[in-house]
Amino acid sequence: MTDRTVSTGLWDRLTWWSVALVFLFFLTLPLWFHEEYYLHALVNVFIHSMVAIGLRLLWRTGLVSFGTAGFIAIGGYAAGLLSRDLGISFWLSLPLGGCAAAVFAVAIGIPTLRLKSSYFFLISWATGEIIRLSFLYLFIPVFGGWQGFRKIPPPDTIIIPGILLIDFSQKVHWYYLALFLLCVSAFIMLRIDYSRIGTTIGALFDAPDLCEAVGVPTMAYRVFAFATACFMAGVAGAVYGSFNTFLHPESFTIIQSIETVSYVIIGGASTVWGPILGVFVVKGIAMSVRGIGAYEIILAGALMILVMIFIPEGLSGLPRRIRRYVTRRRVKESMESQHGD
Amino acid sequence: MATEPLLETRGLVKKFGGVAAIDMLDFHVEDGEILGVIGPNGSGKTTLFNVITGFLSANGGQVYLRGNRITNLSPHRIARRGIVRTFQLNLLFRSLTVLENIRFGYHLQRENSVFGAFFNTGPTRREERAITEMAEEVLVATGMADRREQLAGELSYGWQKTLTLAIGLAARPRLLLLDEPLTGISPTRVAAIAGLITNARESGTTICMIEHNVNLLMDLCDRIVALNFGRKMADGLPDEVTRDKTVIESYLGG
Repeated sequence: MTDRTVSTGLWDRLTWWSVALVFLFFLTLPLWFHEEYYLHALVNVFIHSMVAIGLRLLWRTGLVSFGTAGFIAIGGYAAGLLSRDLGISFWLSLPLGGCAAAVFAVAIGIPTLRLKSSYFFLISWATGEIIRLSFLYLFIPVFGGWQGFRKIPPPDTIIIPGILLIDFSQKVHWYYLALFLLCVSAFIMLRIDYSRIGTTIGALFDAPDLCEAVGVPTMAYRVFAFATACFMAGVAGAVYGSFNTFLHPESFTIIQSIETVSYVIIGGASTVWGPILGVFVVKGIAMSVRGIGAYEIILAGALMILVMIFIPEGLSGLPRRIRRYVTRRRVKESMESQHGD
Repeated sequence: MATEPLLETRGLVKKFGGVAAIDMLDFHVEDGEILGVIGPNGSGKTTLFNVITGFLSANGGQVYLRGNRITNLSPHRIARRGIVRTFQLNLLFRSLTVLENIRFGYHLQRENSVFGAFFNTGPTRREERAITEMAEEVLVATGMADRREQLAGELSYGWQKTLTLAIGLAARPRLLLLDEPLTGISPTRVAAIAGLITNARESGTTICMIEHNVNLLMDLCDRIVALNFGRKMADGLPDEVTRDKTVIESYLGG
């Protein structure tokens, strides 16, 4: 049994080193790479990654939401309204957009999170669609209806005279903003994972009744996970709106929600890095194969099915799986050679 | 007036469809005793545990803990008031290690807040370390020290049973409800497990256990309650109950 702990430690170190290398790569990328198209795409990848790691937390409790797009929309519209119509700074509207989505999540979550996971799945689906249709048909003078929600201002300029000027006129500025927010989200998720909160969320998936029996308020943990996932979706929506200066309800259909779930499944939910890997894989293939854009959801769906059949723990579980396979083979070979003697 | 019992049910009713699994049951557990609950399959023993601990809601009657009504509170609230139970079907955190499972037993004794846990503050780290140390003691006491890093799902049936008991002991509740803690335990270890139960009582935990091994209950228990069709068939000293005619007829056999 000591063997297991030691090798896991080595494995953790390897993971951390590769994460650090990948992080350094993306941190320095704009210094030697200036293609606006790809920087633009990476901003979207980072925004989606935030949503995906949020959804993973809910996934770990054993629930899955198919209404994520709706919560992204709430964050986007709320932050847009605050900064465009009320003149509140983007830096304040950003967390407030997240809070709006989280408050809505708590209101939806308290009556529905105690239901069976399949019912929650259906209700989250319906919720997402109701939110989208509300932005389409309600308060048209405010939300813009079919016209979309226009002219969302960019973040306020950050100036440190003589040293730094970030006015979000260039893609690079957005790139670093999105990367920064993704890092903050990942840090929060890691803190949760490595504290007893994360252990409890994992235990909730194993045996919710036993959690209750030893005094864990399981509903509170579910609501917390759902609210956190929706908070991150809301913050992502706020950045997304400001980045594109424009929001349209049709960007937040069930297709978007399904794609977010696919990131978690494809990348794997056992670590925070899994869903981010999932976003990179789906978006990466969609970007590098010409003309696939419109078929992105089909690609995501196909990948999702393949991964669920062949690597149920997701792509991030692949190295571990290969390692286990190799060890098993080696053991088998050594046994066979012994028999040969 | 006699002193209040630790736990008391008055006129408790639980129906499944039209059938009463618990039928107007007056049941009580005295402070500091080891109470055995026996009865044929389907007599309502596990249902009684489920209603007391809030996993099933009662259709009638009340449950009192030291005179305070706890009927139909949610299970974690009841646990917080001092009643912890184990499950018959070895319900464990299967993907966590043995040590981590036992650490869950200490949930109610934690003083650090979730914020402390999130920011991993000094007091939190100290408390978690102390919990690990206490859990290690439980590991040694239950004979599972060399299995500490094994996943609960990989343990044999008997060890899983021991682990469910270990979680309950770690919680140090006022009242521990054990659902067949000795079933499937290898005969060589039964005495050790029984010893753990008596030790828990010595350190202030009242025990109420469902068990089919009547010989063992005779040694272990201060009192035995026999249930049948959700009603009390007999209630008294182990000797009296096992000699009771109706109990012999319907449960113990001729």
